[in-house]
Amino acid sequence: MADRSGNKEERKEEKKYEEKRYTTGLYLKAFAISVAIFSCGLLIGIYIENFFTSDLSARTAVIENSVREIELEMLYFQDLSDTYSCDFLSAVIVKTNSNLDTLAQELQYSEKNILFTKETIRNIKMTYTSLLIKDWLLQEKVKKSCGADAVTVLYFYTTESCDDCVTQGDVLTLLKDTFKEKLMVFPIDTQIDISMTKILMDRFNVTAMPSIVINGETYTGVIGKDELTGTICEQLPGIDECK
Amino acid sequence: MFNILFLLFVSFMAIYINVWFLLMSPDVKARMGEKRKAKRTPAISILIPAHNEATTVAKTLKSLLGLDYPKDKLEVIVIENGSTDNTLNVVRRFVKSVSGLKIRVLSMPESGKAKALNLGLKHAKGELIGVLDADTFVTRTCLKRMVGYFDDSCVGAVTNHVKIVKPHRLIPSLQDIEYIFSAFSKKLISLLDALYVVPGTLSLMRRDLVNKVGFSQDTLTEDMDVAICILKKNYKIVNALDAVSYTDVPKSLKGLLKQRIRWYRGFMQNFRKHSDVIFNRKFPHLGYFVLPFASLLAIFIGSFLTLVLIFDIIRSVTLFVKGVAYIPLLEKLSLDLGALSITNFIISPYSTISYAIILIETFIILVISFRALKVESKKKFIFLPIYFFMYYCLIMVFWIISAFMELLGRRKRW
Repeated sequence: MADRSGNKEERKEEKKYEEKRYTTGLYLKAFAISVAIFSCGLLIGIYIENFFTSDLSARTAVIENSVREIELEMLYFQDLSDTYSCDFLSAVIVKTNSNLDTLAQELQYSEKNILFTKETIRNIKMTYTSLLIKDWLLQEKVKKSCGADAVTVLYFYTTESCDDCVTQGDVLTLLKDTFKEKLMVFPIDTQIDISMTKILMDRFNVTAMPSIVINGETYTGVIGKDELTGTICEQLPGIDECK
Repeated sequence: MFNILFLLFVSFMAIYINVWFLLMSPDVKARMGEKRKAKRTPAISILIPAHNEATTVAKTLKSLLGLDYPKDKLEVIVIENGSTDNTLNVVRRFVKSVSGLKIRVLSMPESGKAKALNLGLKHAKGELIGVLDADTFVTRTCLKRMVGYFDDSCVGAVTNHVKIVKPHRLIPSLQDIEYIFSAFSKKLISLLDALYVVPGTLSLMRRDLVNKVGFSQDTLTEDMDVAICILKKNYKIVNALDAVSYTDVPKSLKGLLKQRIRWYRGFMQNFRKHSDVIFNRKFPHLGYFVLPFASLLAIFIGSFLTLVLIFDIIRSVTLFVKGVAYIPLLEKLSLDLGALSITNFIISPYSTISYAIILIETFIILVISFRALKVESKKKFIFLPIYFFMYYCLIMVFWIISAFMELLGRRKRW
């Protein structure tokens, strides 16, 4: 009696675990669900990307305004005022330069990571480059009238297949951290199609990437940290960082 | 552009494999309590290849004494091969001290595990043979719960559920999580007839079948080789989760590395040897999904991302220390890995989102497998973050090392 009921239970158990056949349906179902999850993720990504890009445009506009303001102030000082306010002007230029720096870093990230708003980013980069050159010009002008308390570096580079540019970029970032506002770097992406870039390249005899122009002199190829520090310190003797 | 597309592909594949896993999980959970009562007790020969296992082999043999199985149907064959410690003496002393269990001791010069197993196979008389490593210990009910599956004449081999002996230290604890997860996934792929390993944790196989295929020396992991050979003979391999054995795992990083290099190189060698299984209509699940995607591609993606992470860290560290960072290798790969690197991780919306999705999915799968296998200790959850972020990377580094060694073609014996 007990045996028979045991057998029954056993049979029941075996029935419960009857073999289920798995066919392509399983894989198609998984595919459909994955596509759904994936597209949700992609949509959120696109939303964030748009948000990010419009934020960048807004900030570029702010910098554009401040550059225009500097131009205006220079006009005023040159034409109407007898005293040329050097401290005031260089402070504004330094601030603009550091704003441009932050923008440059974010542009660099977005160039790599943005998928759909490439065109907008390109436009921002063009505006950025012309602002950068303008800022450099203003700085040179101020330098002429007031003398220099900062070293300006023009850095020509390209983002396409240039290992050395990556290295040189790292070196400059590092030096920027040491010298802070005493060093003003103007990185110019030569792939951005602006005629002013070509004019500058001609003027300073820049033929290969990366190239650095310090104090009118052009250096091509990677320049190490120590050599660059030496060149900068030649022009800024007596500051703490050079001792 | 290319890097973003690559990233999207990687994310999609990872999401897909996880979704597939999640879809299968309810079925696996339902089969967790599966039991097969043994209607008969066939004769079993247990082969124990032992190479320098003096410290554990006695314990292994002792655990066999406790087996709930008719002793006259059991036959134990210890094949000592070329040990330099006193494995042979330990075994002989043990054999003298016990009665009631048939234990044969064979000895041969060092020639690899596969040859040792073949020698044992020659002397085996049982209807079934079991392979047991000399560092693994069986539980009382292990055999009884496995033999029932052989009532189905299509079943060629039965594997069991392996756990870790007292995982107290960090490295065994992490492996413990890995083993829990692997027990779950083994049950899962066994439902698809895609189980491709019969490990030395007292896996049972039909002797006449193994006699036909034999243990081959071609690869470092004969347990995968023989499993695929069994599948090729149109037999099934099933998994008995209620039959438990315990194994000793490496306690040091070096030991783990050594073990994993053998496993992973063995996997790659088997993959090459049995490449005819891939995209073969005879093996719909194994050939079309489990081997090429769920195993090989998942490992490739995992090790690739780990490599990116490592290069990223090296780059940052050298920049910090030397001032000049120049790691040309990454750039020379002519593949801009910016979007995949961790420093850009927060900025790029796509990588952040895909990492988040994959992490959530993996976490759900882990919780399901923990619950299905009734893992009680809450302490194990403490190790989960380390498991996720460090152990996983470590395992991927081991895969990379193994792949390099395999490519360089260095011969290495078990």
